[in-house]
Amino acid sequence: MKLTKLLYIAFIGTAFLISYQPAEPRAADTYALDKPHTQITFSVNRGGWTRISGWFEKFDGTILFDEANVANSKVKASIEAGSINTGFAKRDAHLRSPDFFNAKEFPTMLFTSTKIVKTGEKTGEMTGNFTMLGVTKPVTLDVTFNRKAMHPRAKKMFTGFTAKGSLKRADFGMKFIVGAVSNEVQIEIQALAVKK
Amino acid sequence: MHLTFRQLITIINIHPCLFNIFNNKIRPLIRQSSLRMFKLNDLVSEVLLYGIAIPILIGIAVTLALRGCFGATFGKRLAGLSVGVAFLIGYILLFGWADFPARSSGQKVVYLVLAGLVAGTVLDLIDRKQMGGFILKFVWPAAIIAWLGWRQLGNLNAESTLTFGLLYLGAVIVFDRLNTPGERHSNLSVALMTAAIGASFIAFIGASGSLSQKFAIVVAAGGGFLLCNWPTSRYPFSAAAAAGGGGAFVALATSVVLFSEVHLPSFAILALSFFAPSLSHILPAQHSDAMGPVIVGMVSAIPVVAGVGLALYIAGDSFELPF
Repeated sequence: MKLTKLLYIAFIGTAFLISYQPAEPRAADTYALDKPHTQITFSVNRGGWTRISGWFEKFDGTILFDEANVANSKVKASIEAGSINTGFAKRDAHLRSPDFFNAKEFPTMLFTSTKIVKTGEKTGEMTGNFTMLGVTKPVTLDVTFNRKAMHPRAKKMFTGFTAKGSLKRADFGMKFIVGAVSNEVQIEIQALAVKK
Repeated sequence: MHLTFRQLITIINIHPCLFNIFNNKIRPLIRQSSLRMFKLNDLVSEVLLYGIAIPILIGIAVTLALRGCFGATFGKRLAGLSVGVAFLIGYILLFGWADFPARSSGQKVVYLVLAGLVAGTVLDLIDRKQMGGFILKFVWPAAIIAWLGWRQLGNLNAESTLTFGLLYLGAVIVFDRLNTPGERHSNLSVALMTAAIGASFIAFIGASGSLSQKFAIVVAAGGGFLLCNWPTSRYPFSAAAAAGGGGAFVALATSVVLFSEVHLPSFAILALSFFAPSLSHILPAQHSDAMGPVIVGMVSAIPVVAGVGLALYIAGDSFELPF
């Protein structure tokens, strides 16, 4: 009876030891941008009269998101300059021309984060290298972490962010009619990303 | 002078600082003071001043200065440098100093014109017409197209091969016509200017305002040289003029073909303008020094009108730059 009891305790103990995993810091998760639900938009001031906004239809990107230590997170994105859309075809053709995005010569814009600093419970500041027209300059975006949750139908983990910032287009060599069309370009990104 | 590797690196590192100082401090100062001086307050006036008036004046000044400084033989031979020099000054005033190394085709145009001026001047000074002609007609257009389109050249398909082939053919025609022995020199400037006027219009219609402005600088740069050569044709349209001024035209045309949405058949028609000096010989008033360039201008305007007309027809209801 005593031996049976000891064997029983030993079995339970072994099973527990095998199943036990010591608490390790969770590794960062990799997410890919969910293109239908991500928008990369921009707006410029036109002569003080109004703001013209537009968006890019083709892009790609990955987010290495470390929720426990946001500073370890990394973002990489590419945008096709030729996919610009402002809702007016003639203006889009002009924006693709060498006057602005020079999309045939520089088809891709790139962003690679270099530093992410947590500024609040759900906010952070992301600095990264942005390459446009062959020029790479640092750009800082204010990022808000919106939500991370399992999608009820897709059964996949989704996470959503909003990033806002601005850049000066002349810094990248886009100098055509600076003044008539503002040098400062406001950027807003609504990013939904799905866990890989 | 012997430069060590370290000294060379230091010089190369200083260059970006000089460019930044020019672009961020000196150029805005020139712009602000001249805008105030001439009471200019809009974009068109700025283009008229920097892109047209100043290059014309620089073209005249450099032509006369070279003639004055280097005498009747070398001064005349070098006077053609003024076309490229005037283009460069107009370009830098409007668009700023190009980065080194150049990042975009627009910036490469500056270095191509500089290289054309140096190579053309060497050819003018050694006066080897046969070798100079070969380099100018066949090697120089290949160099321009290869540097501007090296990315596309690495990824050729049937369509792009045809584009590059036609582009090279067009560039050879331009340099061949600009290097016609025995042609009245002012006629060659007129042909270059007329083609550049057409290119400027077609680029504008094709929604590329900056390329349009750059072609306008070519017109003005050629205009300064022409004013010194009319009504009496005094200074040769030398290898430096062809490689610098013609080089600016061909480099900009290559940018148009490779990187813009400009209607290419309209643009290709402009190459016919360069045949105007030869064709004009059959017309009677061509023998007059004063009337010859006028006749050439009228003949070379025919393909320009056709090209611009076709571009307008293709553009349809509106060709205004939408931004």
